[in-house]
Amino acid sequence: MNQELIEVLKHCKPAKARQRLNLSARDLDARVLQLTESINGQDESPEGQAIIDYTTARTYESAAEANGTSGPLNYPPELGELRDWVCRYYRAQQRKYHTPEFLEQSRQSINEEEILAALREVGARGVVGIQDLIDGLEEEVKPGE
Amino acid sequence: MSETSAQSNPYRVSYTDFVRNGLANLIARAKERGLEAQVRAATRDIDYRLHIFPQFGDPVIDLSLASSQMRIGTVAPLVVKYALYEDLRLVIVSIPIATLPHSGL
Repeated sequence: MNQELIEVLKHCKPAKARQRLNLSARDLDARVLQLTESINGQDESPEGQAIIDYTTARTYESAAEANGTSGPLNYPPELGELRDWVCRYYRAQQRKYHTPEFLEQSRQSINEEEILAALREVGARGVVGIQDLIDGLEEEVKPGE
Repeated sequence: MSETSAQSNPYRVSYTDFVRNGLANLIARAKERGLEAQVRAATRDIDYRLHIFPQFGDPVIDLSLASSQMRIGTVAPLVVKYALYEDLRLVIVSIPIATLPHSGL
């Protein structure tokens, strides 16, 4: 946390501090948006990663505030813009692989009945992640599975 | 195995057993070929994006449920197809994660 924010916190009542912090966050968002404009089209730059990290942190905050609610999250406009930018950035990175032929083949291989069956399965037994596989703690794969 | 520590993730992400088993086999194959770190990193990155930015994949088709789409995303050397249910804040991966051609896997 930078010195300016620490000073704000020292001298403000809680509600006032929050208001000022929100203003600081908006200023920061504006700076980040300016930066995103300047690095559009660059592939996997450190600046791009920094914006992704910042956008992720802001997204977590919004999600935490909405914890327990259902339906799509409503992001502040500046955060919505940042999220759109991050997705465009990722899509630009994968464009070289996603040729029209590749996308068409993918489209044809999809069976909506199977997708709906998977949705019913999640409804019946809940969400199952892959953190164990990512961490390398997977059980030995049994032959035939 | 189940998602327990994802309280503040914007989206829940679920993988079928078929996908999980396929991924475990893929990781084992990558290990044999000296590509484990690369595959694990790509897997982690895909899972992160699906939890935070699931719109990163290119839309492939609209599904019959409202606000739902099949998308495809690539984090080399892996390719993931997934269903995104915006209204439910839910992502389901039911098609095995594939590898890019000439990835050595």
